[in-house]
Amino acid sequence: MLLSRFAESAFWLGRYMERVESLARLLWVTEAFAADQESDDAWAPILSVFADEAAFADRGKRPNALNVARFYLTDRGNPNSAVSAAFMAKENARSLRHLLSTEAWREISVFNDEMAALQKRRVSLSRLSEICLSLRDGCYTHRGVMAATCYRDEVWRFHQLGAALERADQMTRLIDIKYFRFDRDDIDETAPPDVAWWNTLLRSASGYHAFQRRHSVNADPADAARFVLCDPYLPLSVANAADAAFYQLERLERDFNAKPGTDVNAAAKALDARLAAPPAKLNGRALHRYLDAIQQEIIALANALHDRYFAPAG
Amino acid sequence: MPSRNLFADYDAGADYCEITSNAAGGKNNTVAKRLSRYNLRTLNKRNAAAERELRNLGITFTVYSDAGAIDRILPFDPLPRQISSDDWKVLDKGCIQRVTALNAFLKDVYGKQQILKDGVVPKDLVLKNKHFRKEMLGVKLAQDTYTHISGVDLIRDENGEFLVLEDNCRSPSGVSYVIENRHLMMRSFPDLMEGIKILPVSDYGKRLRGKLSETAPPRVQNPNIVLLTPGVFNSAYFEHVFLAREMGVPLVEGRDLVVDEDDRVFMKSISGLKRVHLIYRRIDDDFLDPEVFRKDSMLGTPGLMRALKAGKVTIANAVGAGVADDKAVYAYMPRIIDYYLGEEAILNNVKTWICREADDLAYVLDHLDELVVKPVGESGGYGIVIGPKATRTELRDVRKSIKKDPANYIAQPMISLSVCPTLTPKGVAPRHVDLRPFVLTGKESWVLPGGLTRVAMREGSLIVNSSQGGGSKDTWVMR
Repeated sequence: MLLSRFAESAFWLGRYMERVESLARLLWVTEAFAADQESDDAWAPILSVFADEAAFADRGKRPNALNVARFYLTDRGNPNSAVSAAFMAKENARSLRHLLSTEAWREISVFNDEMAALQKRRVSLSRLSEICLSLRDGCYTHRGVMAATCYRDEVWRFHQLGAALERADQMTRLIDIKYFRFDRDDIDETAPPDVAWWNTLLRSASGYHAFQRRHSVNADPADAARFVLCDPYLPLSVANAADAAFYQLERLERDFNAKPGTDVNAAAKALDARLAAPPAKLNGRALHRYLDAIQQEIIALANALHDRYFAPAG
Repeated sequence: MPSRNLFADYDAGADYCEITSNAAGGKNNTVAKRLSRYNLRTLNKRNAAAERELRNLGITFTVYSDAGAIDRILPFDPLPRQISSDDWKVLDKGCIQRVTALNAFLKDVYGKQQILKDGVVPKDLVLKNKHFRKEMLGVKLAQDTYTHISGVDLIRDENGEFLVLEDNCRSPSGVSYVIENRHLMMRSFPDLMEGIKILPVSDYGKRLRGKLSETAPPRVQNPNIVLLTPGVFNSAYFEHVFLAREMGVPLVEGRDLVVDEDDRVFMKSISGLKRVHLIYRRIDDDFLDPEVFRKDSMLGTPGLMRALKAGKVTIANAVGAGVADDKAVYAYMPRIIDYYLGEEAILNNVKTWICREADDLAYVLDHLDELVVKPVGESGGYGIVIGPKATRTELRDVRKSIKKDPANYIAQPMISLSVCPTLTPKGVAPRHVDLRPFVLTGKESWVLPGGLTRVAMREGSLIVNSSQGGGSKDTWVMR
């Protein structure tokens, strides 16, 4: 029977590593898209999506490409940066290290050293894409090493659960970068669709080619949004990530006598229902509100998990 | 540059050398011969790679600073220390004898106190010792085992005789390096080991779990064991991880445990409370149970002493075991062995003057500049004054301290530790080493073949403690 504290550490190890991966993806998408547009306007929305405007303003820097990228890659003072997330991943791994494979600890440790090295060299725009891809690959290695070497016990289940929830959450934020502006009521809904941006996003989510195979040439951004949110076969889709999370809950109950209980089940059901019923119009303000609602359901589920598994009475 | 025999310039001088003074074949020793095939650059390069791998694998101790967590490795020396099978037979027996006597002594001082009544060991030395825990008086322990895991610190003098320098009955550390050093040697220097018959060490975790299980509370067949750590900030955290992993038991912190009204210990799991029967604790007595010891302890669990006294949990090592490894009690060990076992000590102490005894005190004050003076009840090499190397001021200060509180000091002659060929940036050179075998005691005792060889990496230095720049070597007990 797993200690609650280890369950929590495994959960957050999964979440933080996934966060690094998502950040790398998000910066890559923004960079790839902004490079086309020759404009810095693409970067400020990231600060909105993560509610980091105030923290960034404290640094007294312009929200241009380089400053925002550094803020999210190498800024130790920013708890939402990749380097902070990698550090937190390692600290969580440290506290459950005796339950991890030695290979997994080695990989986390080496990855952290690479992150630390990144901090010492100044990130330049010309290297940004390469850095993001190498971070992403580091996270893929983590996934691979975990999958290849971890005993499929409760630690594994909680790690996968945390990773899946974070993946679902981060994907909604990635999409929201383009749609957060609709949070303000005075934004015109009739702005032209962001086809180029969606293509970049699909590529970053390894979904571009699959999307081409599944859809007609007339596919529009709403179809792309539906694909990334609801497609059951796309590894990085929100629906797929949520399913992975639900599956881990089932296995915890079936294999380890660790029943999720009423509150967790209710929250999971609510998220499932939300994903099963997207609004008819998946663009503009409707899409932003939908993303927001999914995020709220994920937060509610995470809170229920915390109360059920990580903070037991006693 | 032509490659030179690595041992060509090797000279141990007056010191006993673990390889070249050894009957094991001197410079014709198999390992020495194999080493000679390498050139220095290759060897240093391979060693650097080995140390890098130690770091990647996290075989480290952690130092926390403002800049974050820094993981440091214990410097590794790839030239193994070898112990002949004949030497080992003596060490093995001697360590078991010593630990048997230590356990008998602890049972006695927390029971009838016969040895104190008979005047063999001074009463106040035990009863006023800071590691003596009156809470343990009259508590019955499974198998009468107090020191489940013991470390016997040995040195080897100029004549090659092994001498006991210190006993360790309070969570001796370092065993993880013994096993990891062996694994590292097998990975990084397989060519050096090939075909040499060495006693294995990698089953330590299994043995430890077995020995601990023997001391489970009465009627518990398959005890749930946990390892209690102060947490990730503890510098020995890696060792705690290692031991928990090797034993296959949870690595818990005080906050993960709870003691109920029936004095039973539980851990907080995702499926509710789960019973705990045996705690291998790596935290000091003082922090173990805020109900009894330090009230401000955030590391322990309230109620552990209640559970212990009720016989519902075993705590290893026992609370209060530290009274036996005190440097003052150490001086009496030959008499203690004789008292309980009716045997002569197989392993001799280093000659020790007990400053609380008038004659010894007079001798020590007369010969301060020749002796090594040690405050009792300190560990890690702190507070030691080495007479021949001390300044006048240091000698004056220690004289004052001894006169003020003689009972707090012992003195020993200056003994040069044996040396072992060690890789340095300039070549293979003699460096001083000690040896800490680990003894496990359940129903009976078992000694891990070899032990931790610590090496003073600085030329001429006799201080092998990791806290003061020491490194370690793989230790081979030859079959």
